Amino acid sequence: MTRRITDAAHLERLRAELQAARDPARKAIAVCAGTGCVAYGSRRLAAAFRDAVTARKLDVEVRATGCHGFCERGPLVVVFPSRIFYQRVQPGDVEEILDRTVAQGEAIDRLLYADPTTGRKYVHEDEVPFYAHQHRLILGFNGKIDPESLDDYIANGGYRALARTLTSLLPEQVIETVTKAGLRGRGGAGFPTGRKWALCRQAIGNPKYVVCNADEGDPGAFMDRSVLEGNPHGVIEGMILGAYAIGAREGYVYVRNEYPLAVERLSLAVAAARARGLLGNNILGRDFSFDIQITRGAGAFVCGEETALIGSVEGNRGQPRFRPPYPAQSGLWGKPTVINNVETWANVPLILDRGADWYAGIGTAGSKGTKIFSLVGKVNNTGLVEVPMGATLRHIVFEIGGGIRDGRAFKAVQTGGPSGGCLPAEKLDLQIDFESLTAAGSMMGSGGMIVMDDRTCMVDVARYFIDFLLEESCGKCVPCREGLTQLSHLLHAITEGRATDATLGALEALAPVVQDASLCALGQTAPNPVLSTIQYFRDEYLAHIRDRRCPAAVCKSLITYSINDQCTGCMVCARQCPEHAITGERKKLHVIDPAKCTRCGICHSVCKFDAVDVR
Amino acid sequence: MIVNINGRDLLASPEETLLQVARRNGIAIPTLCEHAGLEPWGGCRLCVVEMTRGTAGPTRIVPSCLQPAEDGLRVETHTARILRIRAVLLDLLLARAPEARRIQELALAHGVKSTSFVPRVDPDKCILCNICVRACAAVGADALGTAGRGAAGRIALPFGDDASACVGCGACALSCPTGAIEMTDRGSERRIWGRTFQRLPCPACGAPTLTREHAAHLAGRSGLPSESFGMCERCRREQASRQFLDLVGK
Amino acid sequence: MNATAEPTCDLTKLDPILARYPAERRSLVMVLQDAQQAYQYLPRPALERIAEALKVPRSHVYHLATFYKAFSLEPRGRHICTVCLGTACHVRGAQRLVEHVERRAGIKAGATTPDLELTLETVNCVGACALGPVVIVDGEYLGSATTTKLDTALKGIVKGAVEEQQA
Repeated sequence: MTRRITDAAHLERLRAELQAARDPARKAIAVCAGTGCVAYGSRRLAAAFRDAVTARKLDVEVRATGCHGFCERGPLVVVFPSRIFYQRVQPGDVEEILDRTVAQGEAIDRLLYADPTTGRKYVHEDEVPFYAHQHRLILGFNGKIDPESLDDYIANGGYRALARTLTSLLPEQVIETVTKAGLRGRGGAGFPTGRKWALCRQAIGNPKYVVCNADEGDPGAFMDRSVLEGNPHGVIEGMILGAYAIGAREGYVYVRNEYPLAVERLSLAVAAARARGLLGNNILGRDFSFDIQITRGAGAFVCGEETALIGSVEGNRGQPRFRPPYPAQSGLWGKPTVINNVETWANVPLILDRGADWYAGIGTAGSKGTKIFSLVGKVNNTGLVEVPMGATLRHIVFEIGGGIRDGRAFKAVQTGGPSGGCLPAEKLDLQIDFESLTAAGSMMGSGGMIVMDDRTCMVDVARYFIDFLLEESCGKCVPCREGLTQLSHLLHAITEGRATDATLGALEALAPVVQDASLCALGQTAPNPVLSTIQYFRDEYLAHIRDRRCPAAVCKSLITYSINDQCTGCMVCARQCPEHAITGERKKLHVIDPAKCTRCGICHSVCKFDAVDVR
Repeated sequence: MIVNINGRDLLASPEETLLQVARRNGIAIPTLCEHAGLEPWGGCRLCVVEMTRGTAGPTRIVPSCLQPAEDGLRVETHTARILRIRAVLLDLLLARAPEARRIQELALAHGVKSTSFVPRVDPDKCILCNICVRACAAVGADALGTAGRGAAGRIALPFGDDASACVGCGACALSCPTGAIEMTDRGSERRIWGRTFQRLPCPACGAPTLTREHAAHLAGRSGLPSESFGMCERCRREQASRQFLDLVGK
Repeated sequence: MNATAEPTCDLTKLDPILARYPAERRSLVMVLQDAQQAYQYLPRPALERIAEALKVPRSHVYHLATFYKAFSLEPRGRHICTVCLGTACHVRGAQRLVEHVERRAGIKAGATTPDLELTLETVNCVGACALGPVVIVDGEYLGSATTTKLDTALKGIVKGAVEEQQA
């Protein structure tokens, strides 16, 4: 149906019709089609289900949904109405699933999730510990709806907030509600959203703009991608509400170039919304018009900074500008502009639908609502996690994340991306909110949470982040451009065994100047990973400097590879060694020549007998 | 409005920056990327100052060339923290452009005799202050820009070799604080950016003035004939004073 | 400057692209992206034409194109291998994968083989962190990548891959 929705009453009638037509007892198969599961072949899996269902002439809906979050175990499948949850599903499992689960409601043991420590199996989606410990306000939509179906979104309550708002709230009241709810920006800085909107509404200038910052550049963070791919209408509805609140007619979504699927789903959603009159002129029959344009980034992390983003949309190099003036007063083309992150926008319809008091009841005193984290790295259950503000790091890493993989020891968790810091085990009981993370030497950032074990070298992590930021630096200001260049030299000296105590001193002396004098948050926060690792892992730095040793056995210049007596003489490593540094006859112990070895690590990764030691 | 700088209450207008207020009152703040006639850039960060709003607000470090004056601001331009920042910035710049005279001077004035950092390999004198690019844009030629990004950036012509937009005005070379742009004038011939220009002779004294292309460019922008621009500075002043004398009847 | 001879550039490919957007500065990034897709890189004549059409100085177009990593001013290979160097992939050993392909193909990351068969790139996070380390070969995502999986994916593209395996 592509008939225009004429007013709020029409929308509610449509919603009722769609809900009535959806039989909750109807059999359906939801196949996760987020980027992660797609990489594991979920599109082929969905096609296999569709083919089988057609061939058998079954009345079963096959739905490709957005990211369910439990990416570690993809491809993910949820069977309705039982909500039996299957992981690591292959096309070869399709027939059996149809025979046993769909037809008879029977669970297939080998496809169920099993706790890696206890071995206990979980049958239903909401029992699986990964999900049970979460509070999936925003991500919850991902499993339920087909992101390419506006009807699905409406049937699940979508655009109800918009209808109610346009018919019964003034723009100022929208701002009041968002302020009272305590929503803070989810892009990293945590600025109170209501206050930003109020400033923009009061600012003088026309036209005004709303912008969605979807330039999610923190490596290791993919929350925004999943929200855009899984529920683009949630973001669109948020932007329409924001535009109504500040008095904007035009909006932009600035999406990272590296997210083609998100761009595709968003474009489809915008087109669908337009066709039904939810975007464009006189939305829902009211005297309010608004439309959205999608514009893509071009491979510059710095464009996640709002003034650089503005520069990029205007057709310039992405170089930040000094603030004041702030974008709320003078942004795109010098006009008042509200820029918010994807997740921030996605929270807005929920607040307007269920009320400020409801929202403020979740989270801590200073940080309300939920936060989505991308839990990745050396943890068992990698994926997307949504928890109320105030949840502890321990809860996320161990109860949801299932602890450290391969039975190794927890060493640190890095939050806030390249702007954040590394927190050690003694901080695991920290209750996550904006203030507590900053006080501990890290920050919330956009939500990346990277778990590290005893085989992660913290000095290497600091070096990695500085090198990343050095490459992404726009180059405009001296402290960032030249400061990061020198911080990189110093860190390389340490990881390459060329440092002295003075090197550490130089790092500690230069870092605060980069923090103080840089033009934008990229430079100002760049020293955080360095300073936090020096604060909590100073001994590791000293081992590199004084003992020329890398305790985690990562830094190439400081490690040696050798073969122990578990070697069976299979010769695989010798064949693979690019430097021909391994000698040995068949069935005899092999030897690595340290003079030729470049520590590439190939022998270690191909050996099936754990015979290669790295120290 | 009143802005307090280094303990002195000073009058300021809303359109002024802290740097302008300071300078007007004899307070010297070093700058590198700032140039008269160009919009402030805020890249060198040498002009940073400590700024507090009211008595209890947090202290922020801001570039005085861009920070607008506000009633009640308290500013410190030479605290230990600020001086340390300036010294480190100049130390960093010395590593980047060790042969740049202006950097050496400023560094020395801040107690930095040589760089404590790793010097750039094959350094030139460019500190990426962007004055040349902005000046070229102000002239209206738009022949220059920064190629690449970050520390790998370098001032270059489009594609490295396209000097077609250059009018040979020399604004870039003359405004560069470190002399990083080569321009040679020999007789009426000027070589810059790999291109050779002919400078027109002054109709009065015959000395070479601006290039043919520059004159045509100015003519295009002003609507005046290009001959209006051919007179050299000295002759133009002599002409103006003669006209003045004629006017007052001498 | 690029030493490989560039084939003559078919500027008519730009016509539909330029027609799609208003002829002004704000369209520049999007025009360049579409052009990059049409030509597989950004040939000089195309950039010059774009500057003219959008009424911006050549310097602006060139310096913008060199700022953004998505744009390549040199011809790229028929096959693109992108290794993700995001943090999650990094702690799972992505750097070794880059070095492996660099060795096999005989080029450094960011470069293209002289026969224009393969371009090796790195990217700072593609957002598939649970699958790390991630390598994308011709648009296909390879999760939990290993040197062996890479050799298989690059077979026929990089001669080194096949030879080494049989040694």
